[in-house]
Amino acid sequence: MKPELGRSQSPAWRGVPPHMARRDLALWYRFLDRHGSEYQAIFYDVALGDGTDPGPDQLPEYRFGFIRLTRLRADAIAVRPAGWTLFEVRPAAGAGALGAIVTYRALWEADPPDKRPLEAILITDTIKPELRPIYAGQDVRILLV
Amino acid sequence: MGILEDLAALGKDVADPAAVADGIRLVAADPAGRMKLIQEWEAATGRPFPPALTHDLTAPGPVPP
Repeated sequence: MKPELGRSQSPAWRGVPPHMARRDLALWYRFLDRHGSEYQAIFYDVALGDGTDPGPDQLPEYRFGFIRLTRLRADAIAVRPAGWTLFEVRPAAGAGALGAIVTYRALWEADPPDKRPLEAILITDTIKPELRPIYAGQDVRILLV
Repeated sequence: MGILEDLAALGKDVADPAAVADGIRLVAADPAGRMKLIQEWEAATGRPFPPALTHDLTAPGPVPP
């Protein structure tokens, strides 16, 4: 199933995206202050994967709502003419953030919106040195902010 | 941002209804959400959206797997 991107936001927007924790938000704002202008638009809380279908006996509104609620959610995906960028925002990132990024990227690439490439970036404030090569091995860029 | 900005960000030609339909499919998965986007596009462009595409986008039909 294709991602459900939702409405876009300008990189200048400083509201509170759905499901982004406050401590994640501080990192995200720092990232936007430094790099936001590199992107055309940002989609938040992007739904990925198939979700769970409660079945055809349900009312369509309920069925669509349940599927939407049970899909996985990427923190943010930005777009520019050259391609897409998937962001995972995680203070003191560990191995779990890598699992999230790799999973979201795989779901995106299973049915992407177009042929433009997807770059994956972890935004964090600190990460253990031994994890850096593992992230690099999965082609995930680490951005300290 | 508005629907025209959403579509432009997706690389869609905002004047081409077929491209607009492709973009709307990505922004909203549910028929009701898509209908709102169609209405917003109509208001922004002053043009009617093709009924056949409206039907394709908003028919309840089977939910995608």
